[in-house]
Amino acid sequence: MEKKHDYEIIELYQMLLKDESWEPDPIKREFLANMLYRNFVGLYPEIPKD
Amino acid sequence: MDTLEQRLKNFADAIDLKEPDKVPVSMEVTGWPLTYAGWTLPEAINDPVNGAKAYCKFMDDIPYDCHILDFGYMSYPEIYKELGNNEFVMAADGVGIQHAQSNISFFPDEDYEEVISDFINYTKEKRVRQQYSIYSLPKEEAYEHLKRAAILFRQLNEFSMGCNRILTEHGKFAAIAVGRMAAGYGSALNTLFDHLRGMKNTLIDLRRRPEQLDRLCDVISKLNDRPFDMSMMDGLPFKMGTTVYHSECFLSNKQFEKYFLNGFKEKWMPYMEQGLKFFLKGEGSFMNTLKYYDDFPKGSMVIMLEQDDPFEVYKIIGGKHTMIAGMPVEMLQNSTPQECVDYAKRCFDTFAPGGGFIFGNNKPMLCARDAKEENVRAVYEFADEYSRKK
Repeated sequence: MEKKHDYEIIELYQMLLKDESWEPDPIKREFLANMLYRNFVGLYPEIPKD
Repeated sequence: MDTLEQRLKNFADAIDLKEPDKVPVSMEVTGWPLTYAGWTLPEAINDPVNGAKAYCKFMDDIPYDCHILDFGYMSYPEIYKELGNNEFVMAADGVGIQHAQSNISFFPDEDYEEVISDFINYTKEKRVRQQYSIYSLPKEEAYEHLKRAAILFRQLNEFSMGCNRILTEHGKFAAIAVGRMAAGYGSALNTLFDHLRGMKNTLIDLRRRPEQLDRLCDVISKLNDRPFDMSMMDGLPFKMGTTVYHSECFLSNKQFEKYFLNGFKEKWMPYMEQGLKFFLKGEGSFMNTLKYYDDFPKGSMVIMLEQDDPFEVYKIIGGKHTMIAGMPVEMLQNSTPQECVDYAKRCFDTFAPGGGFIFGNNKPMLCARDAKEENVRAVYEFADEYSRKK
């Protein structure tokens, strides 16, 4: 039986975008979060803006 | 010292099948420069500013013009580990990264129809959870892991940006970075081979479920097809897209035509007829595929060899397309400096006349012991002089 999850993967990406504790600069934060999700998590083909 | 502009012009001339003032001398590396400087990758990630300086130390001692592939590290196993994935592991030498595709879970046979019918949602949710175990944890716990991965990625990015800044300061460049963002081709089969089904399953699917595999490839191809206009490459020193062989080295000629060549020609031939070139990086041995580039516009392909004998390949593509070839890493590791220099001289004497040749090493120097320092120094000092127009 397939396990149900209480959140979507993209929600954690959105949390990263809002969280100043790991990178205070919002432009750099968005760039790094995007690159992390594209290059490592491998979300395909595009991450929606929100 | 040669300037960045001179080096870019020499590269552009070489791939235009003209004899450049200096045959570009390229070098592929990932971990070796850190060993050269006495650092490890974890040390460089923890101190990215000084790590980048250490990584680039070899540039002060060994002459060369450019890299073909990306310069520096694109990955760091600790980031994957933090995400709950052990696809990449650090080698014992502290600089090499081992790719262990066998450690990954790919989508199972029974999900094929679901992937075909709902590709985007499947890959954005179910596939990510198959690959990264943190996404099966409660939300807050998963987020803490993701945040730690993001901090490590920030360190990697700082290290990588530092390396590339120093590269430019030395008047050097990484060729595929020049036009890659605008033009690129990856076969749909490679998306399965590399990411969704893995090498073993994909090669089995070709035999056991070809109809399902073809339908999935169609879905992926449509998603991959992004608009392109030649003006997107205006202002670049050369107009060169990028493509890579991964699964292609394992395919029959008929399969190669079906899964790589037909789509490549359909999408990119009209632009290649207008002057666009394509860099092809093949892994393994792929000489059997090179005959297919006979009817491509002259000079439109820039082909980087790996396992194939360049002297045999030159008989097929010499004078028609550019060949990037030269020192086998095995020689840099095991031969004497004189044997290496003799081989390099033979490459220049055979391939350089008439243009269409870029000297390099056949595989990146990934690990500490991939090449003896004395051999690298001997080859590149020789090449730096011998590559200049007499």
